[in-house]
Amino acid sequence: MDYAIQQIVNALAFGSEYALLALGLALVFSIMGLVNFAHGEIIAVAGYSVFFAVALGLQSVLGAVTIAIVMGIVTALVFERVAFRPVRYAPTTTGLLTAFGVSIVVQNMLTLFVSPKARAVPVLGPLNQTFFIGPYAVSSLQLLELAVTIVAIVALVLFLNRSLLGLAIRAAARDFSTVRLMGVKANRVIATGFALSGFLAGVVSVFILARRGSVEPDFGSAPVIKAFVACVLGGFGSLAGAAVGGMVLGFLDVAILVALPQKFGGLRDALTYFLVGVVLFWRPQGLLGRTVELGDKEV
Amino acid sequence: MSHRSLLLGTAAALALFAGPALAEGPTIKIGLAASLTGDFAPYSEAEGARCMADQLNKAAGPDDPKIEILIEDSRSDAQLSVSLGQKFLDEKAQVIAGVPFPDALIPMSQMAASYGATVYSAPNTQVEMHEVGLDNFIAGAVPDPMNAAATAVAVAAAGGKATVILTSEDGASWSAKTPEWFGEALEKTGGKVVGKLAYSFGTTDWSPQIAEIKAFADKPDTVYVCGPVPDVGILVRQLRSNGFDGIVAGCDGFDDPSLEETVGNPAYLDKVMFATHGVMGDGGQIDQFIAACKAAGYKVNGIFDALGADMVQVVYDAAKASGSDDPVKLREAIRASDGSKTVMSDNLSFKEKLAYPVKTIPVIGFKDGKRVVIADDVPVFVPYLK
Repeated sequence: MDYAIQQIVNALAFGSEYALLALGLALVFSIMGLVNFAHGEIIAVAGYSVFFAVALGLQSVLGAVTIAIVMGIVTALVFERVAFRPVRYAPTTTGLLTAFGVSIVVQNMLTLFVSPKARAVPVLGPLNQTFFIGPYAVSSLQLLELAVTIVAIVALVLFLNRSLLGLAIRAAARDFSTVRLMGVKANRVIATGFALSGFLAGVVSVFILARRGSVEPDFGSAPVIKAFVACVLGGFGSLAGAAVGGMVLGFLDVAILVALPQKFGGLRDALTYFLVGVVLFWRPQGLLGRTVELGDKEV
Repeated sequence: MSHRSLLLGTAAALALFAGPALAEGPTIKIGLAASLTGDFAPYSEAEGARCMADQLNKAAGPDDPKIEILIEDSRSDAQLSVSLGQKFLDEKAQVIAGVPFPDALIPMSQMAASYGATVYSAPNTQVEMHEVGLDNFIAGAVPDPMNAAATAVAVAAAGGKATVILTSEDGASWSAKTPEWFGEALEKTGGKVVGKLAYSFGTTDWSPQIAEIKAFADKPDTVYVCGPVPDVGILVRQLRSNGFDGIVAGCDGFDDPSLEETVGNPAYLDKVMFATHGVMGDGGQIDQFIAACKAAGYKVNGIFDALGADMVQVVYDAAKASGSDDPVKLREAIRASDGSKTVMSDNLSFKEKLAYPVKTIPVIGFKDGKRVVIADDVPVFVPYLK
């Protein structure tokens, strides 16, 4: 029983991180219809900013967290202004290709101008302390991830439901043209969406840095693949779906790791994707996604 | 005969007689599809190879061989390695190498065979390469079962009796089988394997595995993993912060200078040990080489650069012995040699095993956060290898 509870705590931590990542992707998608695969590089730039700050003498945890979050927001806004705004009215595939392009360019720049190898960033280590509650080992980072995810979801829901800008973002997700006819500036709505997404990327960067203790050029790209799967699983375009998809994916990851016999360990990812496929076979629109008319594809 | 004709005739005669005296030693091209970026970037031999080639070329006389290093980034990708290998062969490289794993090296060896060229992978340790019957493959490092056996002996000597092994399919037999061979060798010393767990490269949260380790009925005193940094450094940190104070043992994947920084707390490194390819930190030949290379502007990283340097030295010596740039004669000379004096060894020889060297395997531990050599022997019992 102790063991099961311990693994549930672990799964909640995995799920929280996936949910935060997925929310960042889903926010931008819901406004622009863009799957921003460069979200991983926003996380990476935030991480490298902390690395540079430490190299210049920064020792404060709070300072490192602030830098990561601010740089996450700034990077997201720069990406939007420089790369995504020019292709805003282009087909979605163009946006997708742009996102991949930005991702590759940033990774290559980090490789060339910093290093292809991992660089240690120990400053956030104090966030990741393990303590025991009875027989259960709980990491402060796990609790932080869970708490921040809950706060982020509640704050997002309040922002989107109670503020004028939030309402504009939700409306833009439905019908951007009508929203613009009502006097809302598209640039402002989209930039706000990217800024929120950058904020979440900065927070995720802090968590990954605290756990990993180092940065490298593909620092954010692998987690974003998980976030994409979480979004699809939860229903792309649905913020609640992204959070639920992230949590479900976290539980799936841990459950498979624990339940799969060691000799089949190499099938872990395959089994995860198979189970995600089964869920999508049952609900093609994702767990909380809306059914979209995709046309008649009968033979 | 006019004065002009006399001069021309004299010049022609001089040129004829001067011919043999102007003859140069062979130029050997080594093509490295190196992991300059990607998962295996910490284990690239490229900068060490470049540095050694530069040193040898500068010291070479007119009749000595010249080494030309061709380097392209494989991005740690096997398929890209194979494509780059073909490019190097087309450029008449006598020796090529790629990502040090069989999915790159086996097709590269097959491809190189028709050119007579050799695939010399300085950091390769995997047994697959010695099982498929490739005549033109040479590994610069000892195979993984020997590395695992050396670690097991050191772990047993440190009191390790019950081990959990962590395996991953991501690095082929290096990460999947080396732990098994470690377990087998530990059992030979009277120890036992109490559990096996799987993981993937890139793991940053080991909580599920650690919870499983703590739940085993037979409590382990050792955890063994053969994987890359930063993964293994993160594992050490998370094991310690979860209260595991036993031995954490591993393979050459631990041997990157960033291990200590990734682990963070020097006290966590007590009872961490790993087998590797050479001793660093004692001011010996390897340290001197790395320091000289850094001073010359090369971005050398550690032990894998020394392996790259050894490869260049071995090829250079073979070219000198054969006096030829013919790739087959070069390979025959490498295998016929009684040994080369290299950065890592006073006598690196392939005469006995042909495809890999036989040498002592240093096992590195930590004292007050600093690396120390805790053993440096050739293991007696080696699993798997015949």
